[in-house]
This record gives sequence, structure tokens and C-alpha cells, in this order.
Amino acid sequence: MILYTKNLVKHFGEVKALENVNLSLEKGTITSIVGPNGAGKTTLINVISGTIPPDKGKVFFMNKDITALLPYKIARMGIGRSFQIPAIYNGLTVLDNVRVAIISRLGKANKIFHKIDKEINEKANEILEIFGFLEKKNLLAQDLSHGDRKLLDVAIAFALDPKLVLLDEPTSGVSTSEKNIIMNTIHNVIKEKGVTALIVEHDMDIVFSYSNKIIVMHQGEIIAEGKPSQIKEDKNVERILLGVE
Amino acid sequence: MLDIITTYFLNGIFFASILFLITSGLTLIFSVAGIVNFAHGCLYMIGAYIAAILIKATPNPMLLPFTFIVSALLVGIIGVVIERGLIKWIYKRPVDYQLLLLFGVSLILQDFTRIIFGPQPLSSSEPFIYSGIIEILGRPYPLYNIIVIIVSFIIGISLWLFLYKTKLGKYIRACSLDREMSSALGINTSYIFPMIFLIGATLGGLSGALILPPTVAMLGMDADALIEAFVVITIGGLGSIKGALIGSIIIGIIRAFGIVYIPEIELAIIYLVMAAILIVRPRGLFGKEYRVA
Amino acid sequence: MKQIPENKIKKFFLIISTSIFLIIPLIGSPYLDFLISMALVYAIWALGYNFLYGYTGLLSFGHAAYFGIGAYTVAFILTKFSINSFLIAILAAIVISTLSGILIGYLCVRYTAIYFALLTLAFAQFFYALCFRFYYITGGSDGMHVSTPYLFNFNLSAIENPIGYYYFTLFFFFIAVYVAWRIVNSPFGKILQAIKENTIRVEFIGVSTRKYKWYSFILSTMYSGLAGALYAPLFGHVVPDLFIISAEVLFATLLGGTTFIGPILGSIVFICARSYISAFTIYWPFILGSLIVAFTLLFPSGIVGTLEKKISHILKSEVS
Repeated sequence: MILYTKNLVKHFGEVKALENVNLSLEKGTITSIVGPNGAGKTTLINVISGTIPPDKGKVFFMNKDITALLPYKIARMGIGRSFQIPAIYNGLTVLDNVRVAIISRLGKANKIFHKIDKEINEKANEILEIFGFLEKKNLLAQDLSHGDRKLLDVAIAFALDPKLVLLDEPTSGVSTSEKNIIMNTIHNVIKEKGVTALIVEHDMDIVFSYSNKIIVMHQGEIIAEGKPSQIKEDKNVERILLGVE
Repeated sequence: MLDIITTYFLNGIFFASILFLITSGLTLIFSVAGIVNFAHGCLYMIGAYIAAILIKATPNPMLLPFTFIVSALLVGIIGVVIERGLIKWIYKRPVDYQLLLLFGVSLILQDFTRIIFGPQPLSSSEPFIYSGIIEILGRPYPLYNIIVIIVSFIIGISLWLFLYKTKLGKYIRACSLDREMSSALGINTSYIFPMIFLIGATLGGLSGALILPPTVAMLGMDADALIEAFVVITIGGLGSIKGALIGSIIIGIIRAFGIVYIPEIELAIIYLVMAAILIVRPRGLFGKEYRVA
Repeated sequence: MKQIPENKIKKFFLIISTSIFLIIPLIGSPYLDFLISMALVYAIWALGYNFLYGYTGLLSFGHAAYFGIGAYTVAFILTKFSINSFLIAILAAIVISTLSGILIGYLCVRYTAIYFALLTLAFAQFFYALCFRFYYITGGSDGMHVSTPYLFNFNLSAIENPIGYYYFTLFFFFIAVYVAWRIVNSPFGKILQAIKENTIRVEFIGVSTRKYKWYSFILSTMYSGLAGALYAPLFGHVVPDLFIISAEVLFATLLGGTTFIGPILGSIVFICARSYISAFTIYWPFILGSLIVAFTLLFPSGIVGTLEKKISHILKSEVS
């Protein structure tokens, strides 16, 4: 198990965002988290990535306790994430967006006098190629289409060469045809690099096509988890998710 | 012994009263309009200068209380003019622009003060002197200070009543909690904002007017006031009137006792307090959690 | 019309401007030498300030503190300690202002925009107050005279040897620009830019933004100290007011825009404008404040920024 959580609890005042959440991820698998809005999916990602500390409970990554560590330390350990609203550098080019992540990963952030060397550029171009951004590399991030912005956000997460990626709704707001392109790209990278993925997703078609395991959340609790075939049969789940899509 | 301590304590509350007036004005403007009014210190200073002039120009001592009200209101009007003329253009812009704009405004107001009132300090201590001395626990104490404390207290209560018990006050509090929701609900923000600046600036001007009689109006008092208000906010959190009150009291007391026991560091005492708070409790007493390092 | 490649335009501009800088003392009056020397001092200051503001996105209202520390350090060494080596004085100035930057920066970068700005202002005010408090050392409001600095055996008095002083300043200016250029184009520079664009994202790629904001702060104070050090003998006198002129470097940067050369151009225009305007009016602070307001409202990208946008518009439309 590359990641597991123990009885995570997070309340925002009266709102129970996470109630005794126990989650475990096997290396190299794609796990989707689904559930109605407000189920606690993004909160879970936030707690794992260090954005918010849990009220109670722990998170273990590669057998180390990473509970409530600062986000940058967690990122350094090999966890990358993307955001619901794409967190990219609007004023920088696509190339630079990726280069910044590469610079961090290679530990070259403190190189004050050196130029941006070949290694950085090579690795950046690798990522750009995988995600199909080579032709657009000199465009400013703010000029990209919405789908491209989401993909760039994901590309940045992968530029860290992570062992685990947390993707928060990577295809939301994107047209159906683009959705499959994006998900395909993500899927290929994951399989090629042996990365483990935890994906929050609303589109059930995508969820059923790409996931090894599905976790269903409702009101802060995990109410079901299992293989796509199992979840499809689950009447309980169907009832809860009926309002969604 | 108790009598002396009481005197110092009262001094502390006196300072706190003035600080509270300044800081609550600042806090109101921030909570509702989202603007950190960098020029607030200047409003305080202008209030002091206007009061200095008006007091000297008032023949009848019985009319003196009105000079304070008039000074405060004049400053309030300046506040509205600034808001409608300049600030309203930058509500939607990032924080940097607001800070820059208000920084520029503070420069303009500083020089405006120098141009109109001259470079020399002005004083008008009549109200302080006419109020006379009373006895507290056998020791003499200026009645003026007590009056200021009472006035400040009354204003504080009125502010609370206004915000929590009146319809308009509730609108204002709603605005401060969520600006976008409020306009969606149909609350007319284009007259709420100038009103808030009117109230906030008036409070700032009033505090300057009130501090004038025992001291002087001089150039540079704006920076000191701004920094003290900032220290108060650091303790009490930005956006909380309750925090402004508690912070003011803490700073007022520290100042009052600090001056007595360690006079050499009076100048630095405010900065030392600020540094201490920043090191020990960076988010203030009522601040929120910030996760990003 | 064929599009002229950007690189050639930049090289051309670089050669022309360097030549102009080198030739100025040979064609101008001593007053011009003084003026442009002052402009170069402010340009160094603004370059450093821009690391923090333009590249990292942190707005400081108290950078005059490090300028003042640099200036006073030089004054102390030249006048009070009678060590007349300019190089030693400058080195000391940079060291002390950078140390201050390290300490103060460490405290300040923990805070977001508003608090950061106020804190930097508070520290500048603190030094200003200290200057008056220790008037028996610093000369209080009268300030201190700055004795003539020497470069080895050369007399570098700005009054007796304006041309020499100018070239000396120009030398440091070129170094400052070159170093800044390397820094800005390094991996470190990219991280700073990313911090400005999206601080939170940078945390999530594994960089402690607080640490890098601190580094950026330290760099800017280093430049401020150097600028202050070069200022002191130029003006011949240091006064406490040096600690509260942060608005000037801020405006020079705003004026020119937050690109790389923006602050340099902005400083030159600013110094010339200031000397021209304060020659016939005593309302300089009022005008400065009004200009800041005007620029914030109308020209957020500054002169250079707005010009750059217009030029790239023209170039792009010509190609299509």
C-alpha cells in the first residue's frame, strides 16, 4: 500500500467534511473518488496533500506519517496534485510552467547564477511531448483553452516525477470529446510511469472506463468501495449518485 | 500605591480609547469594503490640525464640544471624497493596486497638510485646560481624559448597537461577510461603501481631534498612528472590532506603564511589542489559520 | 515588411545605451554628471527593488531603510572612522544593509501582502526614529557630512572629480545590471516569477515559498545598500529623511514598469523629472503622490510596460 489514511476527521464548524475516513491505495492503481457535491472529496485531497490539517486521524505515505506536513514537504516526497480550478502560472509560457516544476524536482531552485541548462530543458520537453504541448510551448498559459489549462495543471503535477498524483476533477468544464483525450493522456502516463493515481471525478463514464477501484463518498463518509463492476451493481450507490449526472 | 497605579491605568485606557477610535474606523473600512486604508493615519492627523484651528477660532468655551464634532465630520467628508473620487475605481483590482493608490493618497494628504497648515506644530489645549482637574483616589487627574474615555465608550456602544440592532447595520455586516452575495441579494453597495468611508474617516478624524488638546498636531503623527493601529490590528486581527477593542486596551496599557517604568524605550516600545507579537503569535489573537508557509 | 528579430533589436539597444552612458561625461556639464550619477544610483536601487516587486510580487513600503543604512554606514566609515577607502566603505555598507535585510526579511516574508507592506514600513520608521534617538551619534536631524572617499590614491570627491565619480558609479551600475540579468534568467529567477504568478502552486511543486521570498528580499536589500553607499558621497551629506523616501524607489519602478529595464528607465526619468520639478516648486511630495495615484489608475504597466505592449502590437500586426 503506497498510501493509507486512518480515521480522518475534519469538521468545518457544523459541517462534517470528513468522518472517519479510511482509505488505502495500491501502488500503480487508478482509484476514483465519486460522490455528490459536498461529500468531502476535495477536502480529502486537501488533507492528504497537506493543504489542510485534519482534526483527527493520520495519513501515511510509503509508510511514513505525513499528517499535517507542510504542502511543499509533501510534494517533495513525491506527491503531485492538480486543482479543480487550474493552478497554473498565467503570465508564463507553457514551457516555463513546466520548467518551474522541473527546476524544483531537480533541486536547482537555488541556482542563482547558472543558466537554465540542458537538463532542465530536456526534461521539460519530455513532459511537453507526453502531454501534447510541444507546439504550444511558447504560448502564454492564460491564452490556452480551458481544456488545455486543465491538462497543463496535470502536466505540472507529473513534471515532479511523482509516485502518487492527486487529481481534482481533471476533466470538469471540458467538452466531451476533449474529456476523452485528456483522460487518455493521463491514463497513458500513469501506466507508463507506474504512478499511483487518486482522481476526484464526476463523469461516471470516465470513472467506469479508467478506474481500477472506485470509492463512493457521501457526507464525509466512504459508503462504498470496490471494483467498477461491483459499484455498478450497488443499488445504494445508484440512489446516492442519481442526483449527480 | 494603588492611587498611582490607578492613574497609570487610566492613562492606558485613555490611550486605548483614542486607538480604538482609529482602529475601529480602519477595521470597518476593511471588513466592508475590503480596503486597507493606508491613508487613515493622515485622516487622524488632519483631524488634529482642523481641531487645532477650530478650537482657537471658537470664542465661546461652551461651544468647544462642537468643534470636535465638526472636525470629525469634515474629515469624514474628505474620506468620502477620496472614496468616490479614487478608491471606487480599484475595488476589483488586486491588493497591490489598492496599497499603491492609498500610499499615493497618503503622500498627497501629508503634503496637503503641510501646505495648508504649515510646517510648525499647532496646539490648542483650551479644552484640556478648561476641563480642569478632578480627584481620583486622592490624586489629581485631568477630567479631559475621563471625558474622552466616556465619549469613546459611548461611541463604541453606539457602533455596536448600530451594527447589530439596526437594519442598516445588518446590511453592513452582511456586506462584510460576503460582498458578492450581498450585491446578489440586492443590497446597494454603491451607497454602503461611501457610507462606510464616511463613518470610518469620521472616527479617524475624531480620534485626531480628541488627542489634540493634551498634545500637539504635527507632521509625521500620521505614520506613528498608522503603525500603532497596525500593531493593534496585529494583536486583534484585521477585520474584527472586538479585536480592535482588546488590542487597543493592551497597547494602551503597555504604553502607559512602559513610559513610566522604562522611559528610554518609549519610542521603541511599540516596535518591540509588535516584534514580540509577530514572533510569538503571527496571526493575531483572532486571526485565521494560514497553511501556506 | 520583414519582421526584425527581437534579439537584434535588443542587442542594438544595448550597444547604443552603453555607448551613451560611456560618452556622457565627455559632452556634458558637471551638473549633468551629477544628475546621471544620481540616476544610476536610483537605477541600482530600483533594480534591486524590482527583484522583490516585479519578479516576486512583494510590495515593500520600507526599502528606504536599507538605502539609508548603506548611506549612513559609508558616512560613518568615511567621516567618523576616517577610513577613506571607498571600497572598504562600500563593502561595509553592503554587508550591514544585507544583514539587516536578512533579519528583517525573515520576519516580513511570513506575511501576505497587506501585513508585509505595513511591516516593511514599520521597520523603516523604526530606523528613522532610531536616527533621531541616537542623535549624538548620527547627528540627528542635521545628519552627517560625508568626507571625501578615495579609490586607492584617487580623490573621488563628487564635487572636485565629478567625472571620476560618474565612471565609478557607472562601473558598479554595469556590474549590478549584469548580476541582475544572470539572476533573473537563472532557475532561481524562474521560481521567483512563478511565486508572483501563483504562490500556492509553487508550494505544491515542492518549493518553500517563504524561503525564496526571503532570498529575494535579501538580494533587494543588498542592492539597496549598494545604492545608498554610492549616494552618500555623491550628495555629500546624509540625513534621517533618507529612511522615509521609499516612495521614490517605488515610483521609479512603477514609472518604468516591472520588466527588467523598466526600473532603470524609470529611475532616469524620475531623477530628471524630480530635479526639474523641485527646481521651481516646493510641492514635490504632493506631486509625487499625485503621480503615484495617476500611474496606479492609468498606467499599471508603467512607461516601459505600456510602450512594450504597444510596440509588440505594432510588430505583430505588421507580420499578419
